Amino acid sequence: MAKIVIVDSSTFMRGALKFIVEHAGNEVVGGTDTGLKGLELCTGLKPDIMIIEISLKEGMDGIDTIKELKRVNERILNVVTFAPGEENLVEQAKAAGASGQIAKPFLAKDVAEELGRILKKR
Amino acid sequence: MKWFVNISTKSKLFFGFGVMILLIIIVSITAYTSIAGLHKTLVKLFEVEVPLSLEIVKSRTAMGMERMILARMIETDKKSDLDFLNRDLKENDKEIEVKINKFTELGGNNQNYMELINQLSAKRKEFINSRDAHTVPLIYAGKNNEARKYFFGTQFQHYEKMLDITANLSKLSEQADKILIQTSGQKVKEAFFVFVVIGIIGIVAGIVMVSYLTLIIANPLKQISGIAEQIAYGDLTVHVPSMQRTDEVGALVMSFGMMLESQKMMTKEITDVVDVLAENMASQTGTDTKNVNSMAQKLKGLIEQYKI
Repeated sequence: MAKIVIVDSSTFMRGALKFIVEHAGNEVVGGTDTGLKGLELCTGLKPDIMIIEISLKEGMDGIDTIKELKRVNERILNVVTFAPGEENLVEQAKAAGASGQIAKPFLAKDVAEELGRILKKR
Repeated sequence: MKWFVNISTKSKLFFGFGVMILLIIIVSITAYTSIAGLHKTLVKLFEVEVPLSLEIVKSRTAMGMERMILARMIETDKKSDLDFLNRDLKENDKEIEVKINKFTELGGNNQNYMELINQLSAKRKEFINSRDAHTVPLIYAGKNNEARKYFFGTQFQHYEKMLDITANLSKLSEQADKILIQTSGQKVKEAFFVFVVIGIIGIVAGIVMVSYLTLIIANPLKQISGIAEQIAYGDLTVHVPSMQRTDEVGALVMSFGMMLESQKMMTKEITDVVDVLAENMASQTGTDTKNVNSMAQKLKGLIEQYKI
């Protein structure tokens, strides 16, 4: 069971993802809507994984947040979520240090598989 | 049976009805095979064995008639009567010939029949040769006593032998009739057994399938319906059960869980903002327009996430 922080501009997306992630047997320790608040949560809660929206609406986007988090805490794994049309940003996120990717709309099976895959690699 | 739970509802229903359709196909094939088998037996019985038995009886009658005509010829003195009876004898010969040909036609496929029919034909030739070479010429020559000797001697032996052969043919035919009737009875019993077995399997499979489909489809839907009703009345504390299945029911439960969690989160965030707003309003003597405006914007942003 991994401890997870979710960062997404949409409350609905955070809620949906929280249910899926918990359904897959993980614990969601925190969730927020901006990159900056996400970094604060990660610093305080020290989760295993941060799942972050690739194009956050306010402040830093997902890629910059990942870069910043890598600088602060290398141990936390990053997974980006992306909407259709944002596939080109995924490679940039990976270059910034993202370990996995989850496409929207979320499918429980895909989320569980992706989390399982990156946790196995750790 | 986890694989069955995970396949789509359409596939589950196809599988369930498929089992039933398969059983119906097996029953139909069994019924067709049994009826076709019975038809074959009846055809053999009514087109071969029964006509053969009748022809045997008729041939025995004709042979008896032949003996009677010959006996009358021996006892008659009048030439005109002799000619008349001799014509009758020839007519009767033809009739017996037709019967023997009919035996061959009906029983030609059976080796045992053919053996007896060949014996009968051979004996019949001997009988006719003896009659036409000795008995009839002696009668015409007025030597009735000598003719009578042939009639009760050699010819009688031939006649007895022919009757024996036809009696054996008759026995064979009766045995064949019995076998055919027994076979039909056996086939009916077998078909009945298959129908009973498949019927029981069908009933059991039907009950199991319906119960199982109810358990894995109808029951979870009823459960979700109950949860939806609670949500409709504003109760977001309901718990959506965890279902590790990938079919439509699993997808529905998952969507419900996601929806409920989102609603809870959204309600909590709106409540938090309203609380902060209320706190600010209560603690400040003067209205901090900037702060209130920022909170109102945040509230608006949250509510705008709904697509109405």
